[in-house]
Amino acid sequence: MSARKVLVVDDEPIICRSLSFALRKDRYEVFEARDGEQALEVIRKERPDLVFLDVMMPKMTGFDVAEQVRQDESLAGMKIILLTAAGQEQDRNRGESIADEYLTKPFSPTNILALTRKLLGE
Amino acid sequence: MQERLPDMLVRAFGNEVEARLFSGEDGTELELFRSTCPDDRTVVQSLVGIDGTMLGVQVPTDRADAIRALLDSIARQVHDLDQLERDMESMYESSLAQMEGVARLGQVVQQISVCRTDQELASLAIESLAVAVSVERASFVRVLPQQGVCEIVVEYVPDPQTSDYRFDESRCGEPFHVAGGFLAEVLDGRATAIIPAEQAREEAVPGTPGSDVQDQLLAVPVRYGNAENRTTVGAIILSDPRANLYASARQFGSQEAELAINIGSMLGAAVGQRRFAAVDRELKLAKEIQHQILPQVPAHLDGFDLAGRCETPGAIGGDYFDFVPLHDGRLFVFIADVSGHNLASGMVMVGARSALRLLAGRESQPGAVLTGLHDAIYDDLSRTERFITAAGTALRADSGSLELVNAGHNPPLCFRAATGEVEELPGEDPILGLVPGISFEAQPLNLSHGDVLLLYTDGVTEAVAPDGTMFEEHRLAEVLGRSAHLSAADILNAVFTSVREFADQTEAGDDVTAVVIKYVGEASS
Repeated sequence: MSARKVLVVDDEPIICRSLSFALRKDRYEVFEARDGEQALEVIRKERPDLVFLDVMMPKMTGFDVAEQVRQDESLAGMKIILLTAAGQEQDRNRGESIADEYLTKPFSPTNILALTRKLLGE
Repeated sequence: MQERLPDMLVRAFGNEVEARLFSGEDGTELELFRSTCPDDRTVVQSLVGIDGTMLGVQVPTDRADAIRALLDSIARQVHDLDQLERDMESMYESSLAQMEGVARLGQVVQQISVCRTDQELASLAIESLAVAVSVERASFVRVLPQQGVCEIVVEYVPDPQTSDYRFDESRCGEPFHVAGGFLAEVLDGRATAIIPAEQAREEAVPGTPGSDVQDQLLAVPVRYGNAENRTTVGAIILSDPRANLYASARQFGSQEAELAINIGSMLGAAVGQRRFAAVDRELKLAKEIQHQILPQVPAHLDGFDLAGRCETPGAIGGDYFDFVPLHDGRLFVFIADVSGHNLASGMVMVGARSALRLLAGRESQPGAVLTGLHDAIYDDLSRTERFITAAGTALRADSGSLELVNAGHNPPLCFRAATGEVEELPGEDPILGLVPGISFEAQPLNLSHGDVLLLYTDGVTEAVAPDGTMFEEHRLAEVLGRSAHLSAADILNAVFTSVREFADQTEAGDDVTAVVIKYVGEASS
């Protein structure tokens, strides 16, 4: 079976790159996007199994991207993990209704990898 | 006719790059050039493909120098690229390790308040640190009350089944002596140390952290308090860096040490906080007990109006007053001040009270009571380097004939209704606990109707105003003279109010205690 595909979306290059690096080490095929529009492009082209989606991004928020994915029936079954800075707890309900997981930054890479394995059924 | 340029084939083997020149005419090999990457890694091969073929270009046969320069340049770039890739990898690993550290610190902060025991605190801190730094073993060693003895409280090791850590209790709870070495130094607060395996194994007690380390050991002290008053709780010891899901094993360095120090500080602060809270609870309890053994309602004796009060600004006081029946039926009114006003003074006071109550029931003479009290507690007092000043008076119902005894205490004041004057009644007997084997003797005192005897401790006369002046006897005498026509309770209120208004409210002063004895019966017979 070929490697599962994971997309990491974050406007912070260091978070985006580091997380991709960690996921690649754990043998996933990883794509990166730095904003919502790019993310949707990669999602439609590559159809990743799992998307890590930062909430606070310029132009399009992670919520917007996630909602578009959920409205697109051809993308059904795609796992979404929303990443948000601590202190934005009021968004939790909205996040939990559209995402599979809602994580608060700062996140632990170990937990991220464990969660990835769990969500992708490994 | 223009000469046909030869073909060049560039190949890479391991860290070597070579170029072969072939004749453009018949394909025979003309020349071989070799260059070596300034590095012994074999990444070149993966970069140029497994068959080693990278590129083929045509160069003129007489351009040997240019070819060598080209090869060197390729080799350098391959090396630089390789270096860059490795640097990026190490930066990602470092950044992931930092994320892990920050996330784990946050987790410890969030959960620290719900930990109920030191062991729970240590488990939380050590497990978080084990994951954050990624080690083969993370331990917390606690200092036991006996000098130089420690025990392992918690140890976490990687769980081979999962990516988590599990609690390994096999070595916990066994006391061991720390004779010296890195652990003694870390506990002394002299160092946070990164120690090579060989040294650690040599210095560690067998079966304790460090004794089985293979590579490196990182040890940081766990303490609380400030520079003047620091208490060492124990030490965190991390053994051997370990690769995790996303990073190769990183050698212990400043990043790992910083994280261990931060988590160690939090653990120390939390343990210290718990200890202070426990001491606070004990003190509150002690204060309650102490307060409860003071007379709760003023004693009643025909012919007298009596009132007493003791206020302790600190948690524990050293002052005491009591109304105790003597063997002959007289009422013994007693006031005492144990030196110091801390927990130890309070304990001495409680001990003295028991002795006094026991003696009063057996003796009829106030002097004999004090002599017995002195004999009973002299050893305890001299051993703890404390002393007690005390004064007491024996009252018979409806009689103005009193006996007054004074063991180095502030001279009681006596208001004479007939003249409106206030007298000082100095005593000559020594302080309790100063000289062994002495006896005390009471002096007679006669009160007439309306006369007031005031017993007090030095917290009254030595109350300090913001400008540094003391309340002193003359102010107390003035308050007594002004209020002597009132009831005993109101005289007492007047004294406490005056002292409170006089004293600097910002300073926690001494204990303040006073007892008012107003004779309201017939003149002495």
